[in-house]
Amino acid sequence: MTTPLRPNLRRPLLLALAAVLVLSFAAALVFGAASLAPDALWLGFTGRHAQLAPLDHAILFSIRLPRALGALLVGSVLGLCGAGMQGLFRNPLADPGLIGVTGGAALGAVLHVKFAATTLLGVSVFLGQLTLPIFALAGALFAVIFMHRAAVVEGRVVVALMLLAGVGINALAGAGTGLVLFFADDDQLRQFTFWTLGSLGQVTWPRLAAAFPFILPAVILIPRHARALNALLLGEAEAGHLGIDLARLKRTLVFATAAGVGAAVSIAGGIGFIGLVVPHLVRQCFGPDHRWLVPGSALLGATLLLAADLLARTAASPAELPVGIITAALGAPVFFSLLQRGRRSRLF
Amino acid sequence: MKPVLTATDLVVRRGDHTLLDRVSLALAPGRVTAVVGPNGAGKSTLLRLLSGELSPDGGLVRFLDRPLSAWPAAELARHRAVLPQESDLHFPFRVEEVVRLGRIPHSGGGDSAADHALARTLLARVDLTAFADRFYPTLSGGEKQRVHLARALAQLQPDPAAPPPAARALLLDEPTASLDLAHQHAVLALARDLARREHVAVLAILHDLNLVLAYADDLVVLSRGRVAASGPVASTLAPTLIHEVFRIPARLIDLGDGTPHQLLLGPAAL
Repeated sequence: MTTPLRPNLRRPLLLALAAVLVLSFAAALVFGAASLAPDALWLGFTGRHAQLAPLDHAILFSIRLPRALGALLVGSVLGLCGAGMQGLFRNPLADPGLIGVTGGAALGAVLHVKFAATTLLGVSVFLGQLTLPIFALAGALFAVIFMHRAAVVEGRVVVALMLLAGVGINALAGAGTGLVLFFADDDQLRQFTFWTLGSLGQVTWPRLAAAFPFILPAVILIPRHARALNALLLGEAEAGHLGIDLARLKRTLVFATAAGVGAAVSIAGGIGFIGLVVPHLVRQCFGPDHRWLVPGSALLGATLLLAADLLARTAASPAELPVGIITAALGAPVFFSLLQRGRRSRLF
Repeated sequence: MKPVLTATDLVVRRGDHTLLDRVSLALAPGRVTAVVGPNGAGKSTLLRLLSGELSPDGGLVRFLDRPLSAWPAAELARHRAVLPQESDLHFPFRVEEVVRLGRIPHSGGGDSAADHALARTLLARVDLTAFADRFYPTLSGGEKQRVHLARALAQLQPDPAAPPPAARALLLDEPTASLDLAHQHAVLALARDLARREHVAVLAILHDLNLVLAYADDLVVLSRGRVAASGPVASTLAPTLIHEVFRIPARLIDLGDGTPHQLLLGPAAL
């Protein structure tokens, strides 16, 4: 087992993570199928738009900026929700993707695209966009609540039940998503990859704006409950003895993570493994204290997704890999190493 | 002395089974109360009721004058701490961090300089000074249990920034279960000390009746969900009762030198 850093190194490392995030964000804006000159950023963000070539201006503000912001928001919220859910289930394997929450959100989103969007778009374009995250949230919420009922027996998480219930929910949600899209037209059918593997290729300003309010509960509530999450790591009964209002804490976490995952899915589809890999890596460095784990996961999640998306855009340029393939390639080995370690310490 | 924690006619049912049947007890400040009984007698269920983790199907638990349900969770946590039988903490906290988790209900939250100092002091009291910076999952079962005892003691330490608590209680669920002989005695001596010096009301579920004789003041004997006997240890723990409840022969030995009586149990008592 690698051991966490000495406590006095946590703050410098967190600052370094923040700095790397800023650099990745800048790189995501500059590089791509058509690279911009670095000074384009300078011109673009110091109010001298006029000096930018019209094409560069369009690339920067209509394509790259929403996409990079999307990666930033989705990556950080998936990191946050991964940390929150692993705290709720007191297990490092509780990834929103693995335990079916992402799948539930994707099914909600697909149902919206198929049935609600056309109806609501008739009423107003904005309403059509705005309701997408609500449907995704509802799907995610069902999955988290079901999962918690299935996996927690008398206050103890039964890991095997959690993973098996995740297999079940994922199969069900995947079948539901496939079924809805099977009866859809060709264009919607092609979106199947988007909802199951995820991509940042469809991020637009309205979509970001619609999802943003649903990201806030995760961003605000999960860090605020960091201390309670620490107590919860001792066990549900033990957290109760320490004066934590368990029922309220669990309600809060279930809602915040479902909203966060729902928002992430509505922006970028079902990107997997970020919620698994990121808190795991951060825990390796910072230890399990949620007051470091939660902000660290937000920063690293954003950085990782920005980097993965940059790779997805440039590796096979001008074609684009689904970013979910890259996150899965990073995530699967971590998953198996966690299984291995769990077996050794008899977690199951 | 006014009791700290009072249970009146507690009833717990699960389906057709009655796990606890009209169980009453009172924990007095400054005294150690032992709860003994065969497996399945309802000891752990009783402790879960007393800690507020479980609500009874009948009866009432009061801390001081108020029912447990009328206490805000955080405020109750500043008055009573619980040592669980085992804890399934698998994350790599340092030992000293686990102890400071006990300060969560208090104003410092575990981060103040005083909390850091307190954690070190308490680790010394449970004989784990050298383990402060070790990672908790690498410890043995008995060492882990002592870490949690230190955590419970940290939780009971009054907050200097708040008015002192009117009374405090410490509930220990089989505190000696995975400890070696020396630490079994050390932990119970520590609990008795806490009762004598700081007037904490201590309850401990125990199996070893000789430890009960050595360290407890009062005794509650549970058998099949009912109180078979209760009262001061010396007058309650009789060989006939032991035979009735535990189904083994017992003989009390008085060494005549003022030390607590000893029990011979099983074949040795015949």
